[in-house]
Amino acid sequence: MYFLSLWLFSFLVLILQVTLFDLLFHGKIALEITMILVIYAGFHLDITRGSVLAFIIGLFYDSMASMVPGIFVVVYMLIFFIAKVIADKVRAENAVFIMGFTFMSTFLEGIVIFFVYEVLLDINLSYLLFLKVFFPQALIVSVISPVVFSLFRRVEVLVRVGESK
Amino acid sequence: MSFSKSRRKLAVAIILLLIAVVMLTFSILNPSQKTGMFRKLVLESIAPLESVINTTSSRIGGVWGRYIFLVNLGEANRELVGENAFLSQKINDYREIYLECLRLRRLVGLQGKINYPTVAARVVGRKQSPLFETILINKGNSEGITVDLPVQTVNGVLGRIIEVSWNVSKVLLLVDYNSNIDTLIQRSRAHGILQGSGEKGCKLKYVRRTEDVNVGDVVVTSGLAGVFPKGLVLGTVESVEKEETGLFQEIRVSPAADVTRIEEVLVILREEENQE
Repeated sequence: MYFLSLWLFSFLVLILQVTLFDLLFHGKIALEITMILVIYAGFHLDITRGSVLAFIIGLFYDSMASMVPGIFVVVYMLIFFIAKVIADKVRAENAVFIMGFTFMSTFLEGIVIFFVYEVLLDINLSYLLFLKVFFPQALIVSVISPVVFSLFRRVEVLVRVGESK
Repeated sequence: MSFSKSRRKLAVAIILLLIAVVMLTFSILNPSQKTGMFRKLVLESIAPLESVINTTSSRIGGVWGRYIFLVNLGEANRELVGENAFLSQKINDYREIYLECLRLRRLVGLQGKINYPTVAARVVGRKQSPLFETILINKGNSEGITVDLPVQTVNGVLGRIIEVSWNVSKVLLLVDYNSNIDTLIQRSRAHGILQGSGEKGCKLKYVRRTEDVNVGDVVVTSGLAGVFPKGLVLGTVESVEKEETGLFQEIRVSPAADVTRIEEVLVILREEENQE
């Protein structure tokens, strides 16, 4: 049930994200709710459920938005693993911690994308783009992350209640 | 028992990570691979949803702007404002239709000028990520569209098709960092490669210092790489810089097509595609 509903849920979250991104920021900054979802999975779900979630969301985001198939799957899987390792060592409930981790994860995403473009594909991206795209994106996504976390927590409770029934 | 279970769970996660790395490696090594079934299905699903959400939100925005803020005025005033909003909306609808007619008329005029068969398409989705300059159009395989076909607007080349599903295609705009087009300066016939630079437009690379290039020169496709027919307008030279050292000039090009305001496009079908 969980793995079946995951496909639909991931797709809906992405549609919402892509549409909001276009409506609110006119295509300049991505409101990456999917990133927050992957971090949430790292902090709260077990490794199988979380990794499948990160994989599916990355797959959908790649198919919708990416020019390099596989890049968001790798980024989201990496972020999931880092979040998982950190969640095993510290209590990741604090809002400031969540915001900080989300900020760093968005930067990590930027670094991986730059690495793939500059080193593997030999395409020169402007370094200013890093500041103009990833910095505001990291800022906005990290600010909304505690609220989105609490929403995901409610969804998770609903899913668990449904499963127990 | 529980140790082996947790190891199995970890193994699943590691296998998924390996699959992800293999996917990325494969796509880097084979950049011009065909659109897979999964990507086709996602494209087909997202295009109508995006189109509906965008239309609905712009209508709601219009109603909000015209009507909701006036809710506290008197009853008579409210009726008049409602009527006014309704009429304004009607006028706006007619204006939209009129402008669309004008654009389509220009597009049909252009269709007559291009010596290749073309397919007119409507833009149904704008870029889905700030890093990638792509749009979705409402025509796909069923209309004879294939990967690497050129896409044109009334003003000039817009880009090329990079992914195709049955009824939707993804267009890589010429301002995207992944876009490279073989070009000529129309006046001096100097040869170069036009590469996208995101919001900053495009830069013309590999034009030798000795070549004659001026601001305002028109840049056209050379027809050499096999994707774009020869002589399509790409843009105009915005700035030219020659550094003291170095083999090549630094040239910025402003695209002829306004990539931020596109509603209808023409996909140029190559002859071999048409024959197929």
